[in-house]
Amino acid sequence: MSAPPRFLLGASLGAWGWLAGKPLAGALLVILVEGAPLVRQRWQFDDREFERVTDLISIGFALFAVWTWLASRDLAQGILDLLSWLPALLAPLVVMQRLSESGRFPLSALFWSLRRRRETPARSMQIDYAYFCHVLVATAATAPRTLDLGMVCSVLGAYALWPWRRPGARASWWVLAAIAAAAVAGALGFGMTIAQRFVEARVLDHFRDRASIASRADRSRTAIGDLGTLEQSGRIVLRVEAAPASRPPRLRDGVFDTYQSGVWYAPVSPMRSIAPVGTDHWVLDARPVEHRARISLWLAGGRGSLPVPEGTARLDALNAGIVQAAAHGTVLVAQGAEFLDFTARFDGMSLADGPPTPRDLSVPTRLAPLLQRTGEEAGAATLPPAAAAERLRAFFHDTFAYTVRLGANEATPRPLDAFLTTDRRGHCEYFATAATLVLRQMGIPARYVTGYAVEEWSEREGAFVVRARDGHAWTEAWIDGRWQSVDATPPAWRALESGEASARPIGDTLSWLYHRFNRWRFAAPEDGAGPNALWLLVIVPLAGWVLWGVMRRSRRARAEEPASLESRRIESWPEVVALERALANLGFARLPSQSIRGWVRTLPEEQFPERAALLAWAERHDRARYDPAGISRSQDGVAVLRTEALALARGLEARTGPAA
Amino acid sequence: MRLRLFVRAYRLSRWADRRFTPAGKTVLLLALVSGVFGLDTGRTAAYQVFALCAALVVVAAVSVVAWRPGVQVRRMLPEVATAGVPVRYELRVTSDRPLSGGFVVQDELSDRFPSARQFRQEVRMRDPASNAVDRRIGYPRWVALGAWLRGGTIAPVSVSLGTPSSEVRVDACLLPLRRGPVRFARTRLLRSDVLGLLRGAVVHPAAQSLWVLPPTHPIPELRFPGKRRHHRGGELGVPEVGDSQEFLQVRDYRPGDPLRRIHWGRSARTGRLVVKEMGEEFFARYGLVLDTFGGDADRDRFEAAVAVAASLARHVRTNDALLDLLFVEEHAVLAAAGRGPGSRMVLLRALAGVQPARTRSFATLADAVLAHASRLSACVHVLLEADAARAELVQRLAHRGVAQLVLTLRDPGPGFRVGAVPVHVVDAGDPARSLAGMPTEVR
Repeated sequence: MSAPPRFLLGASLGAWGWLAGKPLAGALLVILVEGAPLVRQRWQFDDREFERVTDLISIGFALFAVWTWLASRDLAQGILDLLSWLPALLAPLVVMQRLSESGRFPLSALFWSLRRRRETPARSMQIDYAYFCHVLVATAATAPRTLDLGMVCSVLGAYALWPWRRPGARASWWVLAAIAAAAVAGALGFGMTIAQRFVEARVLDHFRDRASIASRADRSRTAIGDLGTLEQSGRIVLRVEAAPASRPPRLRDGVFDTYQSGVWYAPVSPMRSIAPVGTDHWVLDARPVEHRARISLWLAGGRGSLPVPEGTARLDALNAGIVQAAAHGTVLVAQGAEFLDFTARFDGMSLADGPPTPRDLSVPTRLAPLLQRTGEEAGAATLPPAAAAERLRAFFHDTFAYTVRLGANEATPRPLDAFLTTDRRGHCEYFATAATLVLRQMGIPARYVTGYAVEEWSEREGAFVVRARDGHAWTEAWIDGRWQSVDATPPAWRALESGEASARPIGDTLSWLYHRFNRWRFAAPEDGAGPNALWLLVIVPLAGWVLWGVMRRSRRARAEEPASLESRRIESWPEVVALERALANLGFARLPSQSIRGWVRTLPEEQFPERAALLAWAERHDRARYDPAGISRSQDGVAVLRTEALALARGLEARTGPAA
Repeated sequence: MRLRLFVRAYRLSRWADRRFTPAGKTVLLLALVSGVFGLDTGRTAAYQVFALCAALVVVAAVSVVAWRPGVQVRRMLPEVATAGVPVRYELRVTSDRPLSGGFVVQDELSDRFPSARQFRQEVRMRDPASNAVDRRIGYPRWVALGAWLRGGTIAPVSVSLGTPSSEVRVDACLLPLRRGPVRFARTRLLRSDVLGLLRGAVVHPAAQSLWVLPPTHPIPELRFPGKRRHHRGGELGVPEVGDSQEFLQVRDYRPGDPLRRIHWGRSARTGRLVVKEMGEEFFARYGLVLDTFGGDADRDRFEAAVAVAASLARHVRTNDALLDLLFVEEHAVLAAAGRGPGSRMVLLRALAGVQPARTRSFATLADAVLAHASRLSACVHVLLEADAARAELVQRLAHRGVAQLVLTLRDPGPGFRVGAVPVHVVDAGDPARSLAGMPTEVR
């Protein structure tokens, strides 16, 4: 591609500095990039010098990427931060191209395979347009979504495309087309934002329902009625560090009160924003609590419901921006880091949860008779709430079985009915749903709760590890003026789940190492750990050592060059290849079976005034190739031959222009 | 499966090259990159760049649809071409409405894709333009082989008209890559949209063929022995030129003369039947034997052999002698060149289309040569192999008094014993140099 219009790069860098919030850097780059053509002197940079600068920039880019990743709390944001500085990182290449004699950038600087082959210098390009595209993307990726950005992109784009219009086309038609494109772009951009909102609201939410950690706070889709095997992975999703006496038996992340067709819906209750004490301490309830547990987890997107022990009153070292608590007890992080490592203070009693509502007694009308019969069968229908809950729990433990496997012949349109009457076996969601509805039928307010069971102790980690398969559902019943847990699932479920492919030594080890790394990476600066400025003292010397190694290797390669010339085959001289390419571009390519002399002889004299010179050179080339005694094989003889070839090639290239 | 993917990839890349200008490709690439970063419209504004690029492509696509002139194209090709030598020819484009501004004329050859067998046999594994990954995948090799099978390359010609015109003459250039028939398929007129991103195309089917002769190299003058043999029936000595009696040997028709000897043109002019008179002649007849066995396995060596044979057919000076070309494809072929300077074209045309023998054995060629040996004074062999079977042919011809010269593209093995017959090894990679140093005596 040819050179871009004047000041295109300067204008785009100015826009980048303005819109991306880097005015000083933008101004400096504008001066560098647009000032380079004003310098009268030009330097003769050879391909190796371009390659060296490109290598240095690549190393700098890699180090900057590592630093950004370590310092960033969000990987995606880290990538965008890196992208936003790309114009500054790549600017030296553009400046070098503009200050070079050739005014072009060799492709060997970008591709190692070309460096090994050492082909023609004509394999080059102008990187101005590519750089312009980088600047445009970097600006758009980091600038705020305003009308200014759209207009700037349109104007710069039009200016960049002006030289490429069709020859002979009227300027008025071009302007009309450009305006039409800008209008269509505006409409398309608006449509894309609307479409994304629609997709997020309808489609993605459906998949979030089945996620283990990032569960929705407003609904829980159960697997009641699903066929096959309830698949749960052994991947560690949570870690709980607590004294044995303070171990929370369960972590709760969702409370639901309305059941419909296999889905539990959360209560519609106002969310209370919790004001932080200091920067990362959150008080949910002022009552004193004695137990504490340190919990570590990944929260997808930095938002979602937080798995916390029952009766949590305070959260310390929680790296979040907005924390909300619902009246029914769910704790939500509306804005926070993806890796959370906090301490929950709790007492195991959900004293702060609000009183029951009429929805905590509602049951589906169709199921009422069956639920009544079940309560009577359990012998709990006439008992007081505490006893009734205990009797019901024992009933399910003794007469029902736990399983995650459902055969194909058990498909039924009324799975809960079948569970309570004929099957009498299922997974925790069946038991929790059934217990909740039966208690309600007996007049005891009850809710469906989801979360995790904390059971497995890891000697290596010195903590309790919670896996995806430890996800659990149980019931909370309003007994004696507070919400109390009623776990109707037979205790055998723990042994069954832990027996399922529990040996994951390699995966667990890697997960532990990654967990330790994340703790260090996201540690608060006052903790004395984390990638703070101190680590620059490690990275900078390492970078310097790498750079010194690269430059020393390149110096050694240069020193070795003359000695290796003799060992290289003449046929692969890049100068000869350049000559072949130049003549091929003029329509006189050499056949593989043609000798150089034979090929030169086929060139028409009237079209090639330099034919005689080419023929003379070809004869000396053949002598050098086949008859070493005929031409000096010393450095001088070979060098002169190669220089002449390059001069001839350049002369021929001038007739067609450099190869694109 | 892999070849089907190659075909699709090739067609897609050709379509993209035709339809998108360099600026269009840049816009497309920018759309892709900005689309990746702009996937989450809530996070970045890169989707605006994507929207702008998409809008530009849409507007460009709409504007090229409207250009649909009705065109006719005539292609003025020469009679023959030579492999490796560019051929310039004229394209005459006429349109139903005046053409103006700039557009591109692209003449195209028929698409030909390598078969699985051809792809496997292609041994260009050390293509210097490919890296290790390309060599492993094989796509660049497949593309190069396809170009060779098509027979040539034609560069597009940019036309810029200052004033509108309904007829445009364009000079195109074909670079033949191989000998044999080169088939033209169509001519395309391409014009970019006003923004310069996309190209609209108008296609005119224009099937035509051009016969490409093999390349030839200079050879030293060969000294043939002065043996003349009796040839019953003779040969027509000179071409007919006008009404000059000096140049025609005719006589009145006598009953019993073969009808095929009647000279109809002279008979019409004179009003009586006259016949061409063939006299008894004594002249030398030389054979040029081309070995086509084993050429399937090594295309480069076979092509070099054909080039050597073509060089001999074109440049060898036989004075009054005739030159007979013998080779075997599906069956034995004999092509005879007369005495005139244009008569060698017969041999070159035959060599332009020769293919390796696949179903026969070398014995077929040997039998054909030996059957023709009684008419030959001398014979030049161009052999792909130098083994005992070929040596036996040479020896048997030598026993019959035929002077010979052997040019072989393989180093002679221990079984290749031909006595005093000169043998010269030709380097398949550089036949021109090898021919320059060949022996000049045929004995």
